[in-house]
Amino acid sequence: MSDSPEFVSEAQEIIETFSRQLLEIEGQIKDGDDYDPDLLNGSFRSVHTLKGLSSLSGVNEIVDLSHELETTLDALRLGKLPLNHAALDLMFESVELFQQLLASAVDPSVGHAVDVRPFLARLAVLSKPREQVDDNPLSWLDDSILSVLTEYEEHRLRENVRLNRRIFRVHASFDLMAIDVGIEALKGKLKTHGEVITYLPSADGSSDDRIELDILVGSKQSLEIVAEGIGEDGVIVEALGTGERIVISKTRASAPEPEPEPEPAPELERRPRAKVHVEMVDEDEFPPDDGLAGAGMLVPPPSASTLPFPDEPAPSSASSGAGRSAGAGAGPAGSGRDGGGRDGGGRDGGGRDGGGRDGGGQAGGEVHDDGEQVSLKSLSQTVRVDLRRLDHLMNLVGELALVHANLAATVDRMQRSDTPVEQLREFQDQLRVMNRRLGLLQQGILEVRMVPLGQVFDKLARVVRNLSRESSKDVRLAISGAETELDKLIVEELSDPLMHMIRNAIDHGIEKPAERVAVGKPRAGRVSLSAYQKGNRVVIEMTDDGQGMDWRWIRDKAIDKGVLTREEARDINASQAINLIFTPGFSTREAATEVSGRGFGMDVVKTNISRLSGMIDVASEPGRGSRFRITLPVTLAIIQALVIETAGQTFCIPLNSVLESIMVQTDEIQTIEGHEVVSVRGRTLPLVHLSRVFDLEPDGREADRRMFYDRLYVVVVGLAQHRVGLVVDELLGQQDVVIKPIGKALRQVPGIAGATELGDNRTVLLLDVGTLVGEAVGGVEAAVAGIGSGGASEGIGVFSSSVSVGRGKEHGGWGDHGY
Amino acid sequence: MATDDDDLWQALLAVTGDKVATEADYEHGYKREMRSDLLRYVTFMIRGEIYGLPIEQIVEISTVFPTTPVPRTADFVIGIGNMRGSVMPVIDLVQRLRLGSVHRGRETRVLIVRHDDDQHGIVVDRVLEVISLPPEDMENTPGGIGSTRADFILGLGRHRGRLIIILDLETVLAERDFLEAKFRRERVLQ
Repeated sequence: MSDSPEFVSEAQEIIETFSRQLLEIEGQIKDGDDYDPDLLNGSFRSVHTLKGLSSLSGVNEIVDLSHELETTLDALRLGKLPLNHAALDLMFESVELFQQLLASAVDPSVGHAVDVRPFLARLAVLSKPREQVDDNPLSWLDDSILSVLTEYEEHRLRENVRLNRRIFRVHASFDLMAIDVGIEALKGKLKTHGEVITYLPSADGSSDDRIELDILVGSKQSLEIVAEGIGEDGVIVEALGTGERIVISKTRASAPEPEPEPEPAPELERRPRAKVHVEMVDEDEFPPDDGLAGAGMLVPPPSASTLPFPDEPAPSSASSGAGRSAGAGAGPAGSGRDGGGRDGGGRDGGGRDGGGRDGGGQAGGEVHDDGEQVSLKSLSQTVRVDLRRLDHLMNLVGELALVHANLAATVDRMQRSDTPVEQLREFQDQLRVMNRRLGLLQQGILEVRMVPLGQVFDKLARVVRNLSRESSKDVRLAISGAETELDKLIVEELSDPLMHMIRNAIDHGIEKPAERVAVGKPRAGRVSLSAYQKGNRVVIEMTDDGQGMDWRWIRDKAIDKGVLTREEARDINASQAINLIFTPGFSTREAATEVSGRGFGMDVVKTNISRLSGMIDVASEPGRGSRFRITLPVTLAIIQALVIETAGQTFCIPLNSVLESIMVQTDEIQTIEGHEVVSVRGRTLPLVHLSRVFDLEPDGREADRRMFYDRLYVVVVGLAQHRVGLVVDELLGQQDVVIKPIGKALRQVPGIAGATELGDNRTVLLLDVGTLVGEAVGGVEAAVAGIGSGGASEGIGVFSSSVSVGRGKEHGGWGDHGY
Repeated sequence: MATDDDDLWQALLAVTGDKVATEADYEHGYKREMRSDLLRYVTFMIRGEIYGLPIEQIVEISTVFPTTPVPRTADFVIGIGNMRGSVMPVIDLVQRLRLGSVHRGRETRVLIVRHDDDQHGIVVDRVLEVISLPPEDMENTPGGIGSTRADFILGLGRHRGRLIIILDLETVLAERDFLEAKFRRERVLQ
């Protein structure tokens, strides 16, 4: 049970949410003394849900840990413990522990036994109650209010008073049947002004179908502004302590009203489900806890008997007549009165709800809360799917594409036979339709596999935090483009390389605070991660403003380490030197630290990235920082490929690394130190014969063949700043291909990325252009660069190095044409 | 337990067209005592010698299917082939054992084996039968075979007076050997 994939992925998700909440709290505390209590509540709920989930699955270690953590979080929430850095540190540590526990729950053989006892001991020390200073800042408050507050609410009240906020009592009356919608709407508005501490049922007598509530709100703003913001007829706002009060009347309210009004209809139709959850949340005494836990555990949504009209708001906003009849149908008992009252209430409530939501979204502090509600909703609308099933579907689509290709071939044959023309045309039309639909199907499946990069970025934020602590450097992480989507597999594979890069950036790049101040940089180092899509590739950039890398120093280090001979070092240029950091075993450190320095990190980065058929590109400027840029295909499952033939064998080249195909006259080919090059539009392009690098035919055979042709097909391929021309015999065409894995044994073959099937049941190899270009450049680039430094560097833009961060735009002249 | 395997073997029999002895044959024909610790092996012939692989490692026995050569691989790697939608490396076992190379004929078969979660095709001259060996009939590799071939041998078994060489898939399919020698170590400078 414990290894069920549903449990693991759900637990993983909760742990990640928990960690995100902690990071956010920490960020808020850093920025100011205050933090959003909802975040703390949220993290409490996360742990609580995790506890429930893992006890269902029988993972007792996680249950125990989350139970203890829950106790501590509860104490933090109630203000019994101060929420300080020590407490946060422990919380972050628990995230790591949870992950280890989860890993060992998945595969007991892999994870060594995780010992949580030291952690629990420290947690216990933290949780030991301290001496409470007993000054009562609430003495001025009416006892009738204090006596009904729960412990948590009282704590929030104290907290608000401590932060010098005013406390307002908002008195509002709600229609009994639409109370959930009404309260939500009001809460949304109040939240933009301050914190809703509690709701108290009012003692005033009221009619049967209306409920009056007192809402306690803490806010920094004045009474007038709060009242203005609420803008609802009949609501009374009173400032506690001073006794000022404002009764909001319709005339005042009319001003802010129009703004949320235009939205409600679509809003309501999209979100009927949300209301189900919201109501569950609101009816409990400690509001969000049970509601969220319940939803998280997939308790079936309340049936029609407990919630008479889950879909009611939608019809009622569409037309009041329809709303009334729907209401009558849903609740026969007392439907006449309820229907009428509810109808109106439901409609405005809904309208305000939409407005309130928007308001909440715009006020920075509330974003997270909204996000959480979104994720709650998505829980009910998402299906977890095993990636293998998607792969299977993808394979089927691929096979359908093969059937299509065969059908097309049949049509060709029919054209040559005496098939009636109109039947033939019909057949062709249908075939075209089928092709289009197949494309859509393929696209659809691909989109299902896409997940936002934010998943990895969140993990990295935690890494940055831990590392900056360990190395006593102040590091801020800036993230942008977290919403960029990539294939799930790629996202998974990315986390290791990115982690190594971040480690390196913090350990080697960012200087100690004192050094930074000494050279006039801000105290806190800055690491930024950004992602964006560029055509059918995704670019991920990581920059730091640390000390950068000096290529000469790296070169000398490489000579010391025996990675490079002195002869090789003489010809090396800046970008080649910087690329030496990717050599396995190369470390600039004398001794390995706990964080890095063993010299294998960047090798891992390079290997992983190239396995994803991506390319990594480094630029660095001593003193100013470094930039790593990773370029990846959006998906690996299906790609467009150029089918070529050389020495009788067929190969596919991923189209996204093909820049162009050209025909070259044999007499245009020149040689540089024995390497063939050709000039294309004024730039020197090194040529690589596929049949030679792959040893496809005996020496001399190729020369024999060459005798008969006076021109060659050259496929210009390139990644990062390198461009190489692959010489092939034939260009057979362009095709969408499904990439099939070729197994661990053959995956290590340099230059081969995978295999695929073409229409006639032939298995064809897919070239790994990155590696081939790399190989070619290793040999040929040195030769070309040699002349480059001799004065003609303008003409050889192909290999111009990108040493400076600031000059990023200048390098790689071909790149600008290519994409 | 036996019935499932028998079904499998009946199916294999249909695929291979070879004579394959099943457990049922033993029970009825040979009247052997029932033992639960018998290990079963698929045996095949290479250059007059009989080799065996544990039956659990074998997924399927297929007739020869087309393969595509893969550059930069060792000579025993015939290429990649597509068997029911999954692409797998196919090796020539005779060449792998450095006994020449496989004679493709009517009886040539491809053993589809599962190793390390990947499927591999192993081409052999001829598939013989499935045999059961009690553990006590197994010997360790005799020290006398000093050649590198000894690495491929898990042990020796005796069956009806003949020596059966049980192969060790772990070494036969060792990943690093798949690459052509000069590509085995990453080049330092790229």
